[in-house]
Amino acid sequence: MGSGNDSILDMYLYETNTLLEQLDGILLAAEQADTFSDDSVNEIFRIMHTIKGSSAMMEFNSLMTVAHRIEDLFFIIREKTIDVVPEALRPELFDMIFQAVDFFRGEIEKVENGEPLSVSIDSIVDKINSLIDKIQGGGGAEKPAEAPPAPAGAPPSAGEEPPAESPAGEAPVPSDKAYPFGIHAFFDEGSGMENLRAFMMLNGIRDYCSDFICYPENVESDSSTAEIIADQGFVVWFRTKEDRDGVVPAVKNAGSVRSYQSVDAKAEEPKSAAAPAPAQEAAAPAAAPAPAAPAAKAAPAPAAASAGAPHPKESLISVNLSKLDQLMAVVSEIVITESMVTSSPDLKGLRLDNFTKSARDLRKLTDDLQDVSMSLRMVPVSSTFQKMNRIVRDMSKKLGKRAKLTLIGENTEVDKTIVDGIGDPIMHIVRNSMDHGLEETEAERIAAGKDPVGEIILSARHTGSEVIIEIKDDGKGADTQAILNKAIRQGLADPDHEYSQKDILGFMMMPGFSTNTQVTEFSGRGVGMDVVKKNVADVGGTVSISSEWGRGMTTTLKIPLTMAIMDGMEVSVGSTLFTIPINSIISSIKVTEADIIYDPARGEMTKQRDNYYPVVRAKDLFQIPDGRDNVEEGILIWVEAGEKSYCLFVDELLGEQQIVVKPLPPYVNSFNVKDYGISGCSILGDGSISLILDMANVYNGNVQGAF
Amino acid sequence: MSEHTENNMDLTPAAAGVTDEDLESQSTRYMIGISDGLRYGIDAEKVETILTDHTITHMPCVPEYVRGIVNLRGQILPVIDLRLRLGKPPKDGCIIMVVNVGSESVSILVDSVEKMVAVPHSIILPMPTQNHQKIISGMCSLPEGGTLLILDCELLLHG
Repeated sequence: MGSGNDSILDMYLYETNTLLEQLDGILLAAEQADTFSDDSVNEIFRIMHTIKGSSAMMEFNSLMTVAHRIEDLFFIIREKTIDVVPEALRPELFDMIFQAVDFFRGEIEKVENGEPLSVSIDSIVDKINSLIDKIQGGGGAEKPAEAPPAPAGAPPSAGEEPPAESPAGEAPVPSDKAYPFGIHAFFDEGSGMENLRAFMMLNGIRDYCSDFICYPENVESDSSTAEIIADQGFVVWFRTKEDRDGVVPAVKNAGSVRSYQSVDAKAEEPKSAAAPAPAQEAAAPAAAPAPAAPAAKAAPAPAAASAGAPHPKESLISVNLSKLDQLMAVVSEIVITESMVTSSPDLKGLRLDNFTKSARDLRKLTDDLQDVSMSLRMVPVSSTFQKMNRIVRDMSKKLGKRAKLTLIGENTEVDKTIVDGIGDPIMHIVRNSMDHGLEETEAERIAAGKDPVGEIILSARHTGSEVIIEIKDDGKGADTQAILNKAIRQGLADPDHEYSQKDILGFMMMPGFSTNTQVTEFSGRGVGMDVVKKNVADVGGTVSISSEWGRGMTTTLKIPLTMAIMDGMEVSVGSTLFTIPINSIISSIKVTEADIIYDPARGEMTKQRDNYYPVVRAKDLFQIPDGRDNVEEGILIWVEAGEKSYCLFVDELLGEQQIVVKPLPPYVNSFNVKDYGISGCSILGDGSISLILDMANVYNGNVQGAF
Repeated sequence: MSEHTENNMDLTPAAAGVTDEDLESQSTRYMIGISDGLRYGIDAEKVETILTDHTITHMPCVPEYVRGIVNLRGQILPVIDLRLRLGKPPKDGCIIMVVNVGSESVSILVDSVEKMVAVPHSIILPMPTQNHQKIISGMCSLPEGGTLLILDCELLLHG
């Protein structure tokens, strides 16, 4: 466990998010089969159990309560098998759990944003409770919380070691003499949920040693033990002294432990013999609380899972992203420094066979090193893709359209930051496909000779330095005439102009364009595809749409593998070097004085392919002392960024290069240079620095007349 | 390829002529940088390295006293010209002192770097005037004559 509270919180968020994702997958599979397999019931039970425990640790009560109720529900299902839920109730069950997952997600998001958690969770808890009642009403089973066989309840646990403990204040004794070595721990006063804290502690202890008994027992399921623990502390007994001493770190690291001490049973034995009455007294509460009975049966499952087979050692570790960034930075420097060494001007004209050979070996190794460190940041897109299952499911229910989602190439790996960045765009496109793409009714589909069930194919694949993600539906496709009419209505298109199909589809990605006349819950708020385009552009990618009327639509996202490295065009202005991202450049143009047109304010423009574009002089914009003034000596670079298209005048094109993007020092950023289009810098092979331009902001900085 | 040589200054107290351990405990060692004839002391603990003859890349859209950025072994550092920062005319052929300020490193351009001195805390006096030189946190007389102005790097950056 980490030292700071933050790292515990980080772990919690990471773990809970992973569990929720896992849960989503199980639920979707289960819904398809319309039943829960025993495995998935166990799995859901376990997930809820973990969420409950860790949420209680973090004192996120809303999460804990809901998880607890669902755990109860699945406890019943697990005991009586899924048959306890009548067919008719199943859709309700699935909906309820999906709802609960959404609730968890919402709460987790609140935690992430540091917002207060929901207080009113009654509606969702009520829903679960009523479902439990219905199941029990129908199946004739009892509620676990009221399970009556209390007197008989003791045996399941008693079978192993009957709890017989000393009262408060006195040193405890083990219930089984085979376990004479104990640790007696007290939790912080008023920390609450003592039983769950104890349970977390046991989990920690299991990492070291799984052969132990504890008092009180059943801490994870019996909340009445919280009081006993608060009063008398929590005792864990081990067979050997070594075991006991070995788990001390786990006890120490468990949350909210106020103090702990080692106790040896032998020394205490006479005392316990002298006080048999309290022992009986203590045995009574163990049997009295009804939940103890089913809980005792519930307990072995997680315990067996963790203690049974020896833990297979985790082959995955989670690493802070900033460490990977650091590694990438160092590796990039090594690569650059290596080329500085091997192409050093001092070596010119020398014949150094051995040096050249070693240099070649070094180059190969550094290349490998770069590849490996880059691959560390790569994660498969599967988690993002899997989320779409849920969206398709929800929407097909709401809209009454049957649809299936096919995933291809889920294992394609992309840089972590990019995966985070493309989730929303993909979701939006999938929603669009469901909402506007697929035909309204199945009859329409049948009439068109298609499978009544619509299909959306989500695929990802690599091509060299790019990842191509395609979202393809077999719906009715885009009605180009309707789009054009709408674009003309919205003032986006010129009615007298002939547009190609590609141009027309391009209108769909303009701000304020939404083809559906009706705004629905899912899409059509007019902030659709243009936001998709912007989000994808933020991670350095592009979006294109192709469609065939009646056959469906395909949206293609082309995204670079990583943002840490990009293709740039090196240009110079005087002695200053700039890098322009290749994907913003349309072309470079040599012009003469006559091609420059002036507006009344002496602003310069130039005409390219039937359109006028402003000319921005980098020298003036960035107030560079040297550099060329005569347009005929320099070169215009026609760029496009966002909705802006303009020509940047620079001295010289130096060539295309792959560069490693470095952030500017914070001190320099504090002068808001980003607002003027300088987004970062990069070190070139010779050690000189080139400034990376963000073409959209260069233009904004220019028109604001900030200088 | 921009050449740079690093003068690894001897940072031991002996080099600064201070051996007295008692003095050590109540004094701070300062590296003296000279800019426009004045001596500025920078806490020697914070000085990372000193660069001569380093290529400064011009940085647009920043105040004039930020001369640009330098590449120190892959680390990009801003360069603050002490002369320009204090409203003095700029000068060519300067020396860069790389200083650690809080969480980031910056480089400060001075005319030359002199030596290291240990200054007892007791002899540091406050600046009498409230003029534009708010980046000076105190001043003192040096044993061998002259005055040392103690530069507060935090204020230099964020003041």
